[in-house]
Amino acid sequence: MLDVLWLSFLVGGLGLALVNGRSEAVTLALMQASAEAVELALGLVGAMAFWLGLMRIAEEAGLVRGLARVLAPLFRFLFPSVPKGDQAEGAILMNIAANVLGLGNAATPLGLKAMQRLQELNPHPEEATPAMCTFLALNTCCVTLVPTAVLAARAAAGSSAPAVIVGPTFLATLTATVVAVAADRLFRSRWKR
Amino acid sequence: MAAALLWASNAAVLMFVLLVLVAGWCRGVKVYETFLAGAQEGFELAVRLIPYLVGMLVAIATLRASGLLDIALAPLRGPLATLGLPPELLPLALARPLSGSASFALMADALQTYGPDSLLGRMASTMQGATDTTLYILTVYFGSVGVKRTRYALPVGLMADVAGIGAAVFIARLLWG
Repeated sequence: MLDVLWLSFLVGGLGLALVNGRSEAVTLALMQASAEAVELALGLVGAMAFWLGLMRIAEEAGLVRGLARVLAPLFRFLFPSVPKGDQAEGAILMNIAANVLGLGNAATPLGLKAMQRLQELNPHPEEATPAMCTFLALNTCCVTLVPTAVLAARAAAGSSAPAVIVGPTFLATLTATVVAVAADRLFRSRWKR
Repeated sequence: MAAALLWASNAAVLMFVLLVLVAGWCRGVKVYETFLAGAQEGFELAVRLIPYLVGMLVAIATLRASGLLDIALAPLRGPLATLGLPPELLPLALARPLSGSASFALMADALQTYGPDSLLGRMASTMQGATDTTLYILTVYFGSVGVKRTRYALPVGLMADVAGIGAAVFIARLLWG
């Protein structure tokens, strides 16, 4: 998918440049963009290191676990089919908590663990269960409290106020989550095997 | 309302940092050591991003410098403007569900081109934070357990993406438009 997109961007742009006399500008742009990419990544190093260092402290201090406990009542509403106290419950809650804190890297292994357990509860292993669909829906739009990488990129780009987007991002992710949960409920009740 | 949200955005980050440090200290975490271990990971992550950034920024630069982007977006300009989505950010909105690293590169490009404190820069940041990479998550999560029929998971994820991006555009307009 992305393969085709990337190829068509480049081939289309290069082809057009050859015919409309912009080859010089495009050559220059190519060189500048690749240099800019490295500069950008190196500019990210500091802020990313700071946030991930802080997040590691949060994890070890049990803040992720604590947030998972706060979210537990919501869990019953979202995943009625998962048995109470099942290990899927812990993994799902930790995954969501990690997502909320912007810990993408820590969230994925927890999410995969939750998926494995949900699959063990699945009577038709080739087909997703409603609980799996709900879990996926939450993962694709999760409420975000600290958009770590975005903050880092804004700081690296020389923003005078990198954090102004935290509140708006929270509200936007909240909207997406509400829509996802509502759509999930609607589809679930309409779905016929 | 807007001023309060902006104040809360700034205060939230500082309070969060403070909370983490105090909580870590109270729980007996070796804060400095732990911080260094995490920071090491941040360095690796940023360096690992380089190839993705080079690939995407070069493609976008080619699109823009050749004039193809203008041609391709011309017919969409009107309808999108009525919805409040600036055509400049259309590639970002389209790439967001497909690839996290690609959309990150597009957002970074918007920050460079329009400035991080411009309306476009702030809107791009909010859009990037607003949703996650639906297709990637779907592929990895379902792939890891061998689920082939994903039922309604994809439409639900995409609807959430549209809602998230729409909300990002609306909120950014409201605050900074």
